Amino acid sequence: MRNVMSASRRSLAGLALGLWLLLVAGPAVAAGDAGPLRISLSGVGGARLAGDHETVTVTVTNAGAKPLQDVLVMISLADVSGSPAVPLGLEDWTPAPEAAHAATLAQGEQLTGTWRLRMIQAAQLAVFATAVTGSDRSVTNSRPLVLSIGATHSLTPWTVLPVALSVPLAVLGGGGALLWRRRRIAGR
Amino acid sequence: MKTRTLSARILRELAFSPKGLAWLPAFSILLSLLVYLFLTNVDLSLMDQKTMMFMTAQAILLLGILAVAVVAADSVAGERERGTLEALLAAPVTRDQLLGGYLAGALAPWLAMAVIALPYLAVVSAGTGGFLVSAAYLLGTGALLALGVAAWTVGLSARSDSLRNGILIALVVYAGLAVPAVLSSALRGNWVGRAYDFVDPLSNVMNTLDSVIIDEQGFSLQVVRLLMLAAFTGAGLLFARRRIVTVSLS
Repeated sequence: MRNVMSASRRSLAGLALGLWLLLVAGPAVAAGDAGPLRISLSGVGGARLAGDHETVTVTVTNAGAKPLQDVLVMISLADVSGSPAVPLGLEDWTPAPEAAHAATLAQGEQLTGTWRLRMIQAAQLAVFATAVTGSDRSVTNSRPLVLSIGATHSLTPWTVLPVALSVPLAVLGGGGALLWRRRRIAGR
Repeated sequence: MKTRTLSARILRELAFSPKGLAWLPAFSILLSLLVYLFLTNVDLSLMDQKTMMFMTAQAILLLGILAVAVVAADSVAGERERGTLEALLAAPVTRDQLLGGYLAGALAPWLAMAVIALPYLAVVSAGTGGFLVSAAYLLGTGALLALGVAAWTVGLSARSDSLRNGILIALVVYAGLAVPAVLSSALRGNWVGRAYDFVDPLSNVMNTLDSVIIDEQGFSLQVVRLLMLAAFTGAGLLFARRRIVTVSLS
């Protein structure tokens, strides 16, 4: 919740950025490559509701000619519905560890990480994967997978306000009545 | 009967005075502000409704347990400071009855706050169909935790020489319980943090509520956490009984 974006950040520029990301990300698989690593990020994507789950799978393949040491793959989340985009803490969205790690990734070998994300808030959510290799210090990013998460809650002023106003009044009234009764008994 | 008389006296001191009554409306106003913010604050209103339910339950639990700890800290240490312990020890009351009275009195704030809080939880749960389950888990695990906290605090209060020290110790214990629950995701990074999170009763209740309300997981996944919570409460009751037996005026 500490990562929730502010209203002022919602702007047309952010909407444009979100639409652009939707266009470049594609609905199901987002792949990227640079150097010996190929990285692909897959998920359903598209329109979702807060409270839904999305399973994101990231596969990193060593497409180079030699083994790679200390390969780490992690995912990052950002709310791109406003401008600037707001980074979101992964720990609020999934209890899974932030990264998957392989001590050695042989030629042609794959490292796969899976994250089950729970959509905790309405947002235009971009999911990115990053692979880092310790041996040659290269960084490879996937293309983003974008989810458009809609709000689901049904709280309205007519449901909340009567309770928010009447309970403190009832507690105060009940307490006052008890004190009055006690003083009356003590006065006899 | 004597247990009931003693707990009724604690309740009278707690509830039937203008100052004693102030905490209940303050608690309800705090919850009113929280649910109103869910509705009106742009940041909070974006949250999933089940996260709101969990946050409401979290607030109820944190405030309720704090009240229990403070009232329990006042038990023996408060009697000693007010000079009423002598009469109590001279009265034909067994130590078990004394402990029962203190525990019942200390649990009363939790009960009162839970009753006041239920309409808020109901309104935040509207439309999710999760009110009964979340309320049952909140009341059940909260009562078990409150009993454990009350027992440990009464036991510590029995050893403390002044009310101020008793309350200070209770607040330190409360902070020790609450910190892992608040910082849990950052804390779980290493084995010490994970072990702390595993044994901490407040974390166990928070994780149970998170699991039940947000992830909609069943009872079988809560068993280990509930056993840890029961162990904390059982050990607290044994500790309190042992301490209350040795209570003296000095």
